[in-house]
Amino acid sequence: MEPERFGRSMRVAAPLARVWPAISTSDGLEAWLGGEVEIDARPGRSVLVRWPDGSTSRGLVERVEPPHRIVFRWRRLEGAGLGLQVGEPTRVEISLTAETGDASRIEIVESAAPMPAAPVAVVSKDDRGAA
Amino acid sequence: MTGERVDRVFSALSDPTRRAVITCLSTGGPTTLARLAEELPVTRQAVAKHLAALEQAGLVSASAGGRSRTYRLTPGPLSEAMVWMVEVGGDWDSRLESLRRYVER
Repeated sequence: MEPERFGRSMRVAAPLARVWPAISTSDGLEAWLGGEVEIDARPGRSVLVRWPDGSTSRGLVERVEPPHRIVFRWRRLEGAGLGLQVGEPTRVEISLTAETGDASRIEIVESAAPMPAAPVAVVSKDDRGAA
Repeated sequence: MTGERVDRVFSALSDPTRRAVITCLSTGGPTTLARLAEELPVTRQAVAKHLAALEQAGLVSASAGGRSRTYRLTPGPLSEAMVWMVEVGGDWDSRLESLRRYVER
């Protein structure tokens, strides 16, 4: 049993060139995800979704491989102040495969995953000299 | 159901011994620490530790019976966790339908 993993796959009658922007741009994602989306589709950049119920999902883009794969991690935040509830962090991976007849297969996997620690490693001048 | 609570349930279920404890309580009904330790291939101390984790997740409750406390399954949080999973799955199902309409338009 893998309770912390959700997978969905479907074939759509649209080519990769049409599907890729729908999963990697703010406007594209906003058209179907169900909230207002701000995404900077580059590794280490942020993703933010404002859901209609006032909650938000926030996270970081982890991988971008146009036009085949985008991976981000997010968690949902509800309420504010002392009433703030922070959902469990998950990793969302959306992959695309070309299929015959100008079609694409879209696979979405959402799995439980800890948020990455500091997204950027900082190397100081002293560290570089030490090697 | 809060994410924290779901986390506790899933984390409690992530250990094979704890799942074995749940199976024992589910098939054999309420029982004591000593009986569980007899049935499982781990020490009594280990069973006590796992029972504490299950209790914290709300999956097991103990009746105050002095030296021989009786442990029983309280599966409420388990079904809440299942409901949560179904909800998340349902979210994606409706989103994917919207995605299809959007790219096939």
